[in-house]
Amino acid sequence: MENFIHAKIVRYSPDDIEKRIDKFEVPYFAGMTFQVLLRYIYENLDPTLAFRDYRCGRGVCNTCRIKVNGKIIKSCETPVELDKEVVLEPANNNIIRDLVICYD
Amino acid sequence: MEEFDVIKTDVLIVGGGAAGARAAIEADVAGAEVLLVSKGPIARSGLTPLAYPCLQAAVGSMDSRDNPDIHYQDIVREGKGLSDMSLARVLADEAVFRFRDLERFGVRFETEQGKVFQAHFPGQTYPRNLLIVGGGFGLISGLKNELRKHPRSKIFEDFCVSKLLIDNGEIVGVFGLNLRDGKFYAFEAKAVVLAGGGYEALWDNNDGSQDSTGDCMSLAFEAGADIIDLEMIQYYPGVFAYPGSLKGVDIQYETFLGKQYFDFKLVNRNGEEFLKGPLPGRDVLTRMMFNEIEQGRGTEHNAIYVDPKKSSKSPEEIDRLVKQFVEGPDKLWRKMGINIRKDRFELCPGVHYTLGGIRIDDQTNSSVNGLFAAGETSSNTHGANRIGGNSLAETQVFGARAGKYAALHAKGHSGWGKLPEGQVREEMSRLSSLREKKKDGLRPLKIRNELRRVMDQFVGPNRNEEGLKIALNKILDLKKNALPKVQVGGGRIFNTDWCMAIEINKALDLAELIIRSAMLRKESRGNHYRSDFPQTLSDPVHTLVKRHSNGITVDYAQVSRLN
Repeated sequence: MENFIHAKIVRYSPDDIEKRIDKFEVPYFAGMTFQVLLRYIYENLDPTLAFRDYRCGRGVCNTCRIKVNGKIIKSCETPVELDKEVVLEPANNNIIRDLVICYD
Repeated sequence: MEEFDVIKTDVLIVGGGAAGARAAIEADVAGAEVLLVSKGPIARSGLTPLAYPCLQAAVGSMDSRDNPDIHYQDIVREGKGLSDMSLARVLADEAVFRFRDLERFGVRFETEQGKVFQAHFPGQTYPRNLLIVGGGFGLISGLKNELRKHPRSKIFEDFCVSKLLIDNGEIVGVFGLNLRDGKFYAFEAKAVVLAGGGYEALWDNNDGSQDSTGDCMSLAFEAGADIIDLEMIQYYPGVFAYPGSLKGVDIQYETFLGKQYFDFKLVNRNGEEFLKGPLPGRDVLTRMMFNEIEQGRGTEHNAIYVDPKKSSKSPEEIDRLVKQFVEGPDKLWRKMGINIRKDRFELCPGVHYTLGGIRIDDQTNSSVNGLFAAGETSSNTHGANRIGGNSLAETQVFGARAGKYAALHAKGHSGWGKLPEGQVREEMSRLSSLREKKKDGLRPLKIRNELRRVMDQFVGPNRNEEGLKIALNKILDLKKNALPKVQVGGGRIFNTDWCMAIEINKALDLAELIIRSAMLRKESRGNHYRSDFPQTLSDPVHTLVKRHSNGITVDYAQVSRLN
């Protein structure tokens, strides 16, 4: 039986008046990271999801930072836990679109 | 009618990595107005942040017998006759000065007993690799800080360049899409430096950054520049193939497979240890692993198993080695579900560095007037094989030269020419049409994934005529039948699919050129190996691809020699 992650992503674009929350169901496998989750959504569920995906995969480039359940993490090295609800938000308020932010 | 913004500058630099940032600093120092555009955020995209800490410069700190002459000889010998000697000479001579510049910029290097430390790497006569604290990320952070001290220079991040603007055989600017505001921009410039890194991301198995699609090579090729040695690809044998969360991440395979360290064994799908004897050099090991996979003995993820259980070391010894060498990464791997002490894990060879690119002279001129190139984008300093540590050295030496000579070129122009509005509007219309709905519309992602699989399978560490022909036909089919169907949904702002759509036609063009170059080189030399032509010919020549008004040529070119 396949397990699923119920992910909520807070999305916003300068064209929009206000933020909205999109819900996605992503197949779970042990050891998957948030970056894998985001990439799954982008490749299979919603091509308009914006997030930074340079995939150094080692926590070096600091590009993949997002806020998960209120805490800032690096999505490439943080595994997703099966039995928790996940709410993804941009790491700061300098939002370009969705999870893509301005760092400086 | 669709509109575009126009910004004028003296020197425009495409690429915000180690070479581009260094060029920007130098051009500003030389008095030019500089504008740097980067496809992603500086220090958080591209290849530089991922680079290992090694920077080669013959300061002779560990061994005073070392000097630039010996550095030069090492480059030329390892390059297997394909290094352009004037470039190798400049790299060896100037690396020392560029290292001192970095120290001045606040970049820190490892020291040992009060002296700067130099590691001894294969291919170096004496220990010559300086180690940057923080690796590539440390380097680009230091350069970014230094660039901030030159506030006249401007930076555009998240900008996707789609075309070079040429007038009367001379570069006059670039055109592209600003991902941040979704608007088109034409930058008018008196000189353009291309420093956009390599083309590793054309293969599915690579250990680099997935935005390294070789845009600059395609841009320069379209503008008529000489492009050389595209078939020369350097592999790293120890890249995680699985799980998805670790795919593309390097490990220090020498430590895991070395008898004096972990002593783990490489094992194919049948459980056979196919590697007998000592660990061979990188190119030989790469080919051995690739051959196992190609002949159907790889894992289900097209990789090779590394088996800890066959090690001669005790569990206590292995625990100690983990603490000594990979304590940090081990914690991460365990979160991903891999315990290297007892679980088999899967490695495959991954594309690590691309030796081909835009042909330059020692002032970083390409063959197009006003167009310069530096760093991995340029070619061919290293020849058929690059010594570790020479890539970062190359970014600093030729990045600085590109900044200097581009600024000089710009000084020779009193103003800007007329903007070739026809070219701009044509490209703008093409980019806009990518967002139109089409019958059987295709996401660019589908084409990208197919392209990467083709390159992995047929343009890998071991090539032959039949495989290259299959690859060429598949690429031409994608260009003819899939590319016209590319369709991008969503809005204008930060549209990742739109950026990928801009990259994909360049990527297909470049893939075709890589394959044609591999077909032309009917020999094996350094990193290019052909099972149907395993001999190395006596006279080394570059492969050269060039676009003319009536078609493209794929031909040989002389390697430059010193008198």
